[in-house]
Amino acid sequence: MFRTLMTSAAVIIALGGAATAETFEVKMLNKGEAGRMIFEPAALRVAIGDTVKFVAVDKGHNAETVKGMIPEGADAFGGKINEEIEVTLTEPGFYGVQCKPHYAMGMVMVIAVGDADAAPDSFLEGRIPKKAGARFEEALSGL
Amino acid sequence: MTKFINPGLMKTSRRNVLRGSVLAGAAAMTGAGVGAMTAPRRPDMAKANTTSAKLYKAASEQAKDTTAKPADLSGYTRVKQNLVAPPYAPEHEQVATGGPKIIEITMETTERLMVVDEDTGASVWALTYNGSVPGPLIICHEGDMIELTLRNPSDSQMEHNIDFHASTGALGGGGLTHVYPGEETVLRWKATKPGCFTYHCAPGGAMIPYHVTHGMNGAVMVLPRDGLKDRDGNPLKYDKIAYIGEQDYYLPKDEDGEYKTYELAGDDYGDSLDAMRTLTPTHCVFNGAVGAITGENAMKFNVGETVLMIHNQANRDSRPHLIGGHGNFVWETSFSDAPLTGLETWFVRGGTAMAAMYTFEQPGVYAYVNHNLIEAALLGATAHFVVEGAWDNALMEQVVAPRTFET
Repeated sequence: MFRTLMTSAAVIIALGGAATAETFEVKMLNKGEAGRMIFEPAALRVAIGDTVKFVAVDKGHNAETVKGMIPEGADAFGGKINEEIEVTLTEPGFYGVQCKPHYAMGMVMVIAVGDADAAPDSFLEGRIPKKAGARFEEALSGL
Repeated sequence: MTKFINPGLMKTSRRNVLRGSVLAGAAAMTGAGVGAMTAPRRPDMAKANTTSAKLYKAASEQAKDTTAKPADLSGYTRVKQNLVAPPYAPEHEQVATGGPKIIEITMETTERLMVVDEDTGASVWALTYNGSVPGPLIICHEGDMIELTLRNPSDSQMEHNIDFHASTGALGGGGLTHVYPGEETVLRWKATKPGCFTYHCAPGGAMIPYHVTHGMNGAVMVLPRDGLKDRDGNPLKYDKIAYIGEQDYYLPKDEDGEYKTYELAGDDYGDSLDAMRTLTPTHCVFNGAVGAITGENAMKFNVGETVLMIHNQANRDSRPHLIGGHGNFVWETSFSDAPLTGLETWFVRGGTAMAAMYTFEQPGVYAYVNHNLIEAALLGATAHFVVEGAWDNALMEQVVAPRTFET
């Protein structure tokens, strides 16, 4: 899967010419400016082919996509607890990310890949814990 | 919202419930909503290994071919069981009267800060059923159904669910009962096997031992319809139940060796994973805290009374011993098998509940301990039974009080 991602990234770079793929860091924190149990930043916009790295500043967290909250055709990703995964996002659209053990506490974030203005209507349709729902909405409004 | 929905009467719901259970059964992930409003969440196949992936596929195909019939609830009488805090037991019949029952119970997944040991100030954000460690004892008879309303309060931090070892299918109900804060679900299951069984929270992965070692476990006793019997079929009756939940805690410490404190439930997740990995509990207590049933909190009995000691240990082996008494009849596994008799110490397999019966013959204080005495004396696994009545010199007599002997 990753080789495919690399290949498509390379193709995009080759075709696009100008832009070089960037890597963005997202911190996994027990506490930050936005409150307790958070991803920082909680809303992130990247270009197609960019990479997001999840940094385990505090322990006991992971980063994984929420079922039903990734663009059609995109691969779900998921790290183990304390694992600092790097994901290259080649499918444009909106990605909902959770920390599995702290999902109900609202530890979620949104990555927007590409230029799409708004997440699809289905994005918040699934069964989402209340606090996570509120943080998702906040994150979407900040993109 | 879903509280009184009877899946047996709603075909679409029923199908969803079933599909959810099969998926959950295959891959230890999360379950389905009761009712048709949500599609069942599916396990993440990327993570499943090849073997379980195959199992998952097979189970999924089976679900499509199966047309589950609505459960036949005719002949059942609905009753409510009011659950009470341990070490006590809810009101119940030892020998069932009338036909089979649907026993309605309610449990709330309460998260609360509890002091584990007053001497050291060690505390834990306990994850509980109905606020106690262990969760309340549930009692029914073989052939009855338990209908649980599981409610996760809005101010909870975490999702919870329940796996009943006494039940059949969907990870013991675990796959069908995931509730986020502010949600409730109703699960009905049939008690087909008589015995004592553990129940516990099992949200998935490392969260399973995390929730279990934070107190989220308890016991169900499924009595034979005609009550307990000895190996010859003679009825055995008890006067009281002593419900003991043994809890191993793995509490994180700071660099100075002091127990750490946390602002909210769930804050200790990372530290707890490290502490659990040692497999060495910092505490091993009965009913939630050191001394919870000793001294002033001891259970009280009279000579001639028969106690049924129900011991639950959802995570770890244990070996109860009643100091100064015995296990007259001991059911380590099932009530279908003849009880062991005249035991000094009995065995609790980690992940089970079991029962031992004793009739007090002497007054005094009895210590009920985990007879790994390090765990009893240093980690907290001790309870006291205070028994009143007349001393029997035929059983024991102090012939000479301690005195200095001539050299």
